[in-house]
Amino acid sequence: MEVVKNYTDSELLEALRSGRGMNPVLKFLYRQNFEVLKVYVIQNSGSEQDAEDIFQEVLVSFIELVRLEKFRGDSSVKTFLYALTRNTWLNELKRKGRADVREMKFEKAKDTIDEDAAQKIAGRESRKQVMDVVEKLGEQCKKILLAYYYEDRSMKEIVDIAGYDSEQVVRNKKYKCLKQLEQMLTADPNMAKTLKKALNYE
Amino acid sequence: MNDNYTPTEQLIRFMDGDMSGDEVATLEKELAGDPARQEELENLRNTRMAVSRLGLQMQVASIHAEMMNELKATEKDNVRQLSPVRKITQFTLRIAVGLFILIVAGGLYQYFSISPDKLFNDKYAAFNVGTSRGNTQQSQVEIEYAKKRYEQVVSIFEGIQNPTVKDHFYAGLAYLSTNNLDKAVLNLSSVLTKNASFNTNEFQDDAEYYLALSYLKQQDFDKAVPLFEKINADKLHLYHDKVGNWFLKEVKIAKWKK
Repeated sequence: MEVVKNYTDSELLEALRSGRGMNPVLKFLYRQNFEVLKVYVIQNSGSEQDAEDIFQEVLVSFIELVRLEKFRGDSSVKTFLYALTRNTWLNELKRKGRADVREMKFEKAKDTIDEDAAQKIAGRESRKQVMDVVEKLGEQCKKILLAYYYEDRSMKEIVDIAGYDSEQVVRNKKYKCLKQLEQMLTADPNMAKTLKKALNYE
Repeated sequence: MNDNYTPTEQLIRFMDGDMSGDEVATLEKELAGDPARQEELENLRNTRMAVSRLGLQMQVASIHAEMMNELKATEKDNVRQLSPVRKITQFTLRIAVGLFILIVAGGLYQYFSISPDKLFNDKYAAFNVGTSRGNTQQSQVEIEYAKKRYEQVVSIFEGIQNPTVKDHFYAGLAYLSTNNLDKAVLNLSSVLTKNASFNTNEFQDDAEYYLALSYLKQQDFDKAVPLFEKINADKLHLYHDKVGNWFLKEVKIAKWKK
């Protein structure tokens, strides 16, 4: 049976920054926040599915903001997630051209929020553009790059995972994959700019 | 700088932290004067970040599916656990609401159905001479009253020069029976006055009760209510059982309605 661990805000931030033991942290964030934020989205013209999509996006943004040191901890994690949800859902409603955005039930946060960071959350369109870029890579490229850059695996481990003959072959493949992406960006400065902005929350 | 690597490979090695200190220093010098390579490095870094985001999204998505199952199961458990409590609560509430409606409906019915005439009819019963107390000697008035010949009672009474307490009492009852309320009140009051004067108690309780009923029928609540209250408060009063708390409330409601 899984042991449910509780985290203080500082423990939680430390775990997110290091990337170690992420799954229990993510589960904790779900247990602590999802129901409340789901109610917020549903109360503001959203569906349960909208709430699920928005919460996933909010978690990704939150973790990236923490890693970019853009969440200063002026507010509690709970309050900050609420602000992120509010802004993400507001952006989504604007994108859908909803006229009743002004009627959204904005609750005044009781403590200070890292409002600058919360405001800079990218719209769904920008996030989609980022993913479209990566999706253009083949499955093997994604597998190698994810294993190396996200899972922090060694070349030797990737040889086994990707089923290549040697580390050199993996190294060459990784180079080609990165080069392919880099060339896409060099060829399209606007896309490069959008990507940079969306990834760095600028 | 290791010349075995292409310029892009060198940037990747720099980005990945695979270079030695000397190589880093050399590359940094080269980059300082080469905006095109700086841009290439930035694109490579953004590429790496995009990959990391994809990884993070995939990880969150995998946890998401698991957590949705867990949270929905928890929600169902909570609903299941709460169900008996909710059922009992709902059942109790329904009973409470039902009772409340009944009480309100009953109250409203009472309120609208109460009238002095109704209250009088509920409580009035012709005095039974056979149960008379006091003077055992039957007068002509009493005899006629026992025969329920109320007009005769009145006629005889009006011919009496010095009516006794008993005469006043039966005359009062006869007037009440013939709906001559003013004279009923006058004679029944005379019973009480004379008893007070002679320090007697003849037909005292009977006169009080029928006088109160006479006032009630006259809708003179200011006089009826104190008499009914007196009878209600006095457990030894002959008519105490007839004037219960509920009846007293009804009289007061009739007074309030007026």
